[in-house]
Amino acid sequence: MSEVTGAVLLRCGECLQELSGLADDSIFLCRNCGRAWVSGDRGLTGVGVTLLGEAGDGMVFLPFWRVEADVTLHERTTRRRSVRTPATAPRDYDPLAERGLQTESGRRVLRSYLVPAVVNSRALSIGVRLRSSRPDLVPYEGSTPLMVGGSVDAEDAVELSRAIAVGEEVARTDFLASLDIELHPMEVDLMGIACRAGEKGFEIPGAGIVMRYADTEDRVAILQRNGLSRD
Amino acid sequence: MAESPFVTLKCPACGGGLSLREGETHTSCPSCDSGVLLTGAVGNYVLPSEVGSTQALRAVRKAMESGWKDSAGRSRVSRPRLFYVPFWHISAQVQGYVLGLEPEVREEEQPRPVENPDGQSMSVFQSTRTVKRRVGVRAVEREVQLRGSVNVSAADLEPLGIPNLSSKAQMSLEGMEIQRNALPEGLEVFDSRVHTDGVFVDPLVSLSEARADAEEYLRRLAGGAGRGLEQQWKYLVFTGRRDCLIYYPLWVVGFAVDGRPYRAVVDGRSARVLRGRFPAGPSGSRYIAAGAAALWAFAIPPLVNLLATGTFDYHSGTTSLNCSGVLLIIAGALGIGTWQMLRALDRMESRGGTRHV
Repeated sequence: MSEVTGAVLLRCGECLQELSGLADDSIFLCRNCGRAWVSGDRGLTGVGVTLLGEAGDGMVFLPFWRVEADVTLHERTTRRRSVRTPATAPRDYDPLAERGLQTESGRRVLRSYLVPAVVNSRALSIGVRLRSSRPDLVPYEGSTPLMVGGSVDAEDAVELSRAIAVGEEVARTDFLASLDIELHPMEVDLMGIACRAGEKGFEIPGAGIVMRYADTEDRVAILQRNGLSRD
Repeated sequence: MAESPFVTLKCPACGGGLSLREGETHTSCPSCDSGVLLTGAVGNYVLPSEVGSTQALRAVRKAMESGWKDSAGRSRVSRPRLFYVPFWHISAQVQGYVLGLEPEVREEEQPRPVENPDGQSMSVFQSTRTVKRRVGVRAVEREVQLRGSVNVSAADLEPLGIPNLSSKAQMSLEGMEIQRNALPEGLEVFDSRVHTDGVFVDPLVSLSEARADAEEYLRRLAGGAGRGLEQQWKYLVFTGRRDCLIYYPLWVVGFAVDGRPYRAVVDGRSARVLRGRFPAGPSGSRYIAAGAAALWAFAIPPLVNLLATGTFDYHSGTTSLNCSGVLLIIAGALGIGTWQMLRALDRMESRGGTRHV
């Protein structure tokens, strides 16, 4: 049998308003005071949240993790697009040059990553595209909206941020051979972004990015809780 | 075995007792209606048995009658026992990149030397052959996106004759609804007040062990994205893990034939006999009888010949030996061998594979 370590009230630690979410949710937004809570082994922990976008018909607030991180690129090795098999003529043997490898090192930057907190099989490519598109989202004004479906924890979000950092290097025009990268999270908080429930998926406004329903695990429950349905 | 899978907790708001079902992670207090979150809870599900004890018995009897008709009449069957065996169901998404080099190959027609009809010379103009030649490599960057789920045995099923599912095992469980990846339909949240029949076997494999096992399996699966690539470099992350424990029904039917105990395991969903130890079947006895007959067929003619001719002595040059003793030993050995074979025939147990009934 599994061991239930404890029972905690599913209530906002600030205003005691009852919180609600989907069966697998670990992120809860209090609709009364706007505080966000994350469930873990030690119960509910408060986390900062920023709401962005505009509410309206067909709009659904989805949670995203924002990871501010110190990224150090120790070594980045690239290779040429293609390499011919060398002719049999005598030559100076240089294994790196023969394999078309070039190495650069020593780069340290501060970066901000946006990672979907809903389970999505394309979270990595969405994160990479969000990095390059940098959507200009306006702060949300109004009563605290419903935000459900958040089941990716902060630890996973940091892991995904590392993968997004790798993805950014892969996305460059050259051909990556290997990468030695280090990412230290400095700040991790939540963002609730108003997405349009379109024909094929949740559209992130201003970014041209669609989180396809087919890739989103809890799509049906998210839509239902928002009073929507898509076939 | 599980004594009481029921969990008792108090409501953090009013102190009232919470009525929980094991599989729940959220609930509400029956006294004050407060929403309660269960930290560290893992969903427990059960696949109820669709087979009753009579059906399980019938399945075993049918299996015996189809292969061991003689034994079926002499068998004494004990009461079938229902066991719910646990499996961890772990799902996660694997994302990342695989980088490497893909060899570029060019097909070329090359002349093939063929011997001329005169047998004295060779020609290279009559025939050609296609040769693949590596001409270089091309840089490749592939993205890995995989949402996978794995079922891992949470208890040792080998004593029942059922192979365990682990990261190393690639086989499917023939005849069972639960498989390596698939989640069976018809799952119910485990509730000790409803699911009272059967023995619920405690998981021996911890959740962290099962997670590591599942991760290894998914890593191998995701590694397929780099197939054919040289000088590979991979970066994979595992996120969005979801775990639950599934109890699968198995009937264990014990029976005795001529005082010897045997056992069969019947699937609680399909009534198929999955594994079993049965008395010797007719095919086994046929092989033994054929072996004994062949042995005597080889031995009898020379023995009869010796008896008929009376040539018991062996002569070679100046040496003369009486072989009647040796012949008696051979005949005795044949007799003992045959007797042992007949005993083995009587004792033999067939450890059957899956039998569909």
